[in-house]
Amino acid sequence: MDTLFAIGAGAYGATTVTYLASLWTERPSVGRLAVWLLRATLVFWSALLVWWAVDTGLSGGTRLGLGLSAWSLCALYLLLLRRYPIAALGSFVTALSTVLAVLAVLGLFVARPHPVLTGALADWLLWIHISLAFVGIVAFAFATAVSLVYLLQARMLKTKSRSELRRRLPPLDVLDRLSLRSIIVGFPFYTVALLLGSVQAVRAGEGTLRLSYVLAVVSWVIYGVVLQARLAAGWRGPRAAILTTVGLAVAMAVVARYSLGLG
Amino acid sequence: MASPSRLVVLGLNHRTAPLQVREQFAIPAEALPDTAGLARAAGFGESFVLSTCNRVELYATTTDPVLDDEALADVLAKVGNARVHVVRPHVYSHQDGPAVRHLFRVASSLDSMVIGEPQILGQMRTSFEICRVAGLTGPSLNRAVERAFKVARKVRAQTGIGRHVVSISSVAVDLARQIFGKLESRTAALIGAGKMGELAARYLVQAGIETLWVANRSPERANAVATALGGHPRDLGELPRLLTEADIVVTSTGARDYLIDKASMKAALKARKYRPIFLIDIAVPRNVDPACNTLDNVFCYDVDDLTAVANENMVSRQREAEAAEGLVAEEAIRFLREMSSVDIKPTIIALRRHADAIKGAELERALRRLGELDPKQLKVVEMLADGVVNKLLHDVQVGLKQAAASGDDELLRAARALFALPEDDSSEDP
Repeated sequence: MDTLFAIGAGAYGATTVTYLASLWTERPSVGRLAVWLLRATLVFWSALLVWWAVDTGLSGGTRLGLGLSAWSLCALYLLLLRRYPIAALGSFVTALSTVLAVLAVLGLFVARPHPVLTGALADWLLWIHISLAFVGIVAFAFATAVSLVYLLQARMLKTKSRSELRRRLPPLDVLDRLSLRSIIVGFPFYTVALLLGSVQAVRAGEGTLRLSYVLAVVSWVIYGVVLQARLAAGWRGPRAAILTTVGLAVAMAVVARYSLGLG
Repeated sequence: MASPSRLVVLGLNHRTAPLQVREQFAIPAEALPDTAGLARAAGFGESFVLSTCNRVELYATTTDPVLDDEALADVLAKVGNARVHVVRPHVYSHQDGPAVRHLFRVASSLDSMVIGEPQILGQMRTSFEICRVAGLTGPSLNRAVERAFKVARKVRAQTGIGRHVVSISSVAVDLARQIFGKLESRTAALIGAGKMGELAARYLVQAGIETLWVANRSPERANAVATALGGHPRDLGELPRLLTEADIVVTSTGARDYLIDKASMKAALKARKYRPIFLIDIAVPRNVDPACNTLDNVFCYDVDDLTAVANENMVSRQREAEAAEGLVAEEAIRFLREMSSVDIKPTIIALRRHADAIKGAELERALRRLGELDPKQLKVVEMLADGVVNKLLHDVQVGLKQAAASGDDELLRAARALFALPEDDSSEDP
């Protein structure tokens, strides 16, 4: 099982490399190969996740969530690819999925499940909390991938780059809208997840403030600020993109702590 | 025996003839059949005329093994209703393989003034269709031109020859699309309604922008350009407001100082809630302070920036054109091979028919001499005759096909002479 997960993470990595190659070569066949490789990776990863879920149940929560996030991010990309000209986003999305998949694999190899995931409070409420948090994180991860491409494209347009890459990346407006919509979708899920997390903490009778809780709230505040600034003050462009990326980094720190058994 | 049909092209283009010569050959679409008909009167078989602002070419078939340059120039002079001594220095002609290659190059836009421009294929299609409907083309020309269209599509699909735009205005539209995506819901403002500005605005209108405002020092000129482009005239004093409202601003005034400086752009940006704005400054001296480009969500390109992109795209097209030339050459060779093997068909059909006639006559005579035969004996005799004929013809057919594939029609003539095959004995299948 562990080896199969490692192979799955490797497949995400190989897909990322193929997508990167498709950005630099003029051959459309490389782009097509990347899409097929991604589809195959998703099928393989789906089988692994089902197996893992059946095998571990709720105790595999965080790792299952990480694996599911990696899968969902790519699936969302493939879905949006039908509607938006975002083929060039593939390398960024698959790179993020590779990170998530590697975290899931590291969790398998390195750490024991966090006690909160196997203790008396490991019930349906915890399961909902984790699920909602990961839905939010997937949306934020997608927004981040889009924002990174936005930053790259905006920089190339500003510097009057004549690189072929500039022509292949999606228009700024498409990237900006996709990023905002992803945050709008993810934020409510993340908010409810945090509220349920607080309930869990109260149920556990915890008196101390864990670092993970603080980081989770910080990431929530960042996305709240991004949303407020974008919707009310018309914020857009590089500043919004940078803050979106910082928000994900903080949220991922929370996930990484749980994944590595630190809590 | 009649000589096989050959493709001939004669014409003049932007490289061989100056505009004052080319303009004599501007043939309207409705006159194309009459013009192509001149070739028939001059002894050519099938024909069609391609007439664009950069070229006039007559494509025709002939069975004449030797073509006189003087006679060709004379035909083209008639096409343009011009004196032959005026036309002669500018005329080029190609025959057989080079003619096929030229046809493929023209269709693939490799012979165009702007390499890779897409209009030529449409122009060729239209001209050809007019001549085809008028009954001036036939199987040979139809096959060659249809193949030229196919090769042109292949060149466009397999090379990047048409991928990048090469005019300054097109580059500006291309960049606008990279910032805004679709331009259909966008608003553009043209500040200064000179020729260059008008051209850039025209491209934006063609690209589908929703609203165009035109502001100029002279309101009359603003009004005229706005009317011509389907836009709305605005007062030049409204510039701050235009900067707040428009997504794309094209400046081309003769002002000596900056019309848009960093401070005014910063104020406009705040008022427009930091929505991106694309400033296209095609004026010399510049109308937009280049420092505006340092502001987030402001993308500022001057004429040098746009020219640099256009030049880069042109280099890219030329690189792709080299690959396209190889493709066209390969396709021309393939087509000529196919044509050769098609031409051999009538000879093989005639040969087969000739052999079957001899076989039938000899078989009948032999059977008369043999008297009554039972069905089995009859079948054996017939099989013997078939076997002898087939074995004899097999090697001959293979030899003819190989010779045709290598473009050698001498063997074809020899076979027809040796077997005494009739000239017009190929119209029916044996």
